[in-house]
Parts: sequence; C-alpha cells; structure tokens
Amino acid sequence: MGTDRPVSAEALAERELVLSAQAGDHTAFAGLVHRHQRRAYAVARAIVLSHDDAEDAVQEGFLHAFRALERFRPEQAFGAWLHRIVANAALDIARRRKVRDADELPETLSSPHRDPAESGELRTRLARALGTLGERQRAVIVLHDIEGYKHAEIGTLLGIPEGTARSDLHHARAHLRRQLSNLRSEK
Amino acid sequence: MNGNEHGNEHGQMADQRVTDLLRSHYAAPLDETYWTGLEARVMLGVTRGIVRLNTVRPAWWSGFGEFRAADIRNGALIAATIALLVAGATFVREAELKATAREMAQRAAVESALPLPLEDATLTSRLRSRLPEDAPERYLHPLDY
Repeated sequence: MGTDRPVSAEALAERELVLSAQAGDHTAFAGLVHRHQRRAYAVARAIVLSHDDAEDAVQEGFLHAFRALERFRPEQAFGAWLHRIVANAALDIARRRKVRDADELPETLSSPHRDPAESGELRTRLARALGTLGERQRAVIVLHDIEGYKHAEIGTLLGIPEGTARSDLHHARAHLRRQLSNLRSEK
Repeated sequence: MNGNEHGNEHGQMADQRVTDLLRSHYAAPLDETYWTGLEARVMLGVTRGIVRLNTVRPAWWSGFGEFRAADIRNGALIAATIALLVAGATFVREAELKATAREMAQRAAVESALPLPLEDATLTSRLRSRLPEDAPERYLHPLDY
C-alpha cells in the first residue's frame, strides 16, 4: 500500500536547489537555470518565430519564475512549472511580435540558429510552409514531433484542451506534408 | 514526454522527412559557450530585476503621500456627499414628525370641542330568527321572484 515513489538523486538535488533558491540563494537559482535552460529554450523556440525571440522568452520566463519562486511548492515538478511560465512568456512575445511587425513575418520566421544540412531551397520551402501554418499548430507539431511532449502536456503548456492539441497536430502534419510534397518527390 | 509517440494521430502519421526537416530548423545551439552565456544573461536579468524591484518598491509610508495627493480629495467629496444625504434625510424626517404632531393637535382640538356620546351607548345587533322557507330558491333564481 506504500504510496512513496522512489526519488532519484537528481530529483533530490533539484529539490535542494529549489529550497535554497527559495531561501534567497542566487547560486542555487543559477543551478536551476543551468539545468533547465535547454529545455526552456526548446519550449520557447517551438512557440516563437525566431531564435532571438526564444532567447528573450527564456530570460523573461526565468525572471518571472524567480519572482514567483516563493509561491512554488517544492513537492511539484519544478521543470513543468518553469516550462509553463516560459511558454507563457513565449506566447506573450509571439502575440506582441504578431501585432508589431506582421509585415516582416517571412524574414523573421526562417531564422534557425545555425545552418541546417539541407539545401537553401529546402529551408526556404520549409520556412514558407511554417509561415502558412497557424501559430498554435506550429507550436504543437514542434513540441510533439521534435521535443517529444505528449498531447496533455502540450495542452498544459499552451493552455488548450488535449483534444485541441491532437487536432492541431493532425492538421499541422497534413499541412506540412502537402506543402513539402513536391520537394520531397523531387529529392 | 515521449519521444517515440509519433504514431497515428487522427489517421495522420508523422512524416519522417518533414520531422527531420523540422528538427534541423528548430535545432538548439550546440555550442556550450552559448549556454554558459545564456545562463549568465539570465542571472544578470534576475539581479537587475531584483535591483529594479528594490528601487521601485515603495516604502510602507510612501502610501500616505499618495493618499494625501489624490485620495483625500476623493475622500472629501465622498464625505460631503454622505453628509448632504444625511442632512436631507434628517430634514425630511423632521418635517414628517412636525406634520404628524400638527395633525394630532388638530384632531385633539376637534375631539375636545365635540365629545362623542359613545360612553354610555349600547351596541346591539339585529339577528334574524330564521330564514324564510323559500330562501335558497330565491338566492339561486332571483329573477323568478
């Protein structure tokens, strides 16, 4: 009848960091940043259009998390809590960006951090296809197919029902498949 | 999270080629120095945020200054309105009391001038000993009678 789950050393170490950070230890918070920044970046990158915006979202997210740290209950999963905050920051940036410079969308969209192995034309086609995809559908397909999140987790991150995440994934896959079909048959 | 959950979603399978393209497009920086730098920038932002908070955060007594500046004026307006309403209500109430007192005085004056002879009077009522025999018929068919 035991309900105690085995707690890994990793989880214990993270809990220690969280408790220390809550007590005002900045070094401990830096440790949390170090542990979670890559995942936080991936979440943000799935939502915003460019690498720079993703970085901004990560920084804003961590700052919000730091300010809200005293409200965090240590028995929760810190990663899930943090990623939700980063996702909200990213959604906010995406919203502002959409309003501010809708005209620059095609340029800002295709800005991966480094050059991928594919040809320039392929990258252009992908960027265009992603540009014609809805913001939410784009985030869902990246979070699911690239980052490996489940539908329910995506729903929590983006603030949408699980069913909507499923449906968005279906439409996004179909859309990209259609948009890139010619190119794939050429290759 | 489950990296292998790429099965059939509403009949739409993930296209491996598209997935590879997306993975390449959304690839995170591999350079370790980038992450060290990002961590430093995040912590700098946190420190600046704290400094800004401490600078901006008002002292407990500063609220009174703001209260003096704006809220006293509003408070005075509200108090004046309430005082006006109370005064109005009191005036109406007093007017009603005066009117009642005047009416009572007039009634007393009339009653003292014309005393009613009710003290020794006996009230009687005339009771019908019994109903006529055709009474129910008459009540039901009054036009036939």
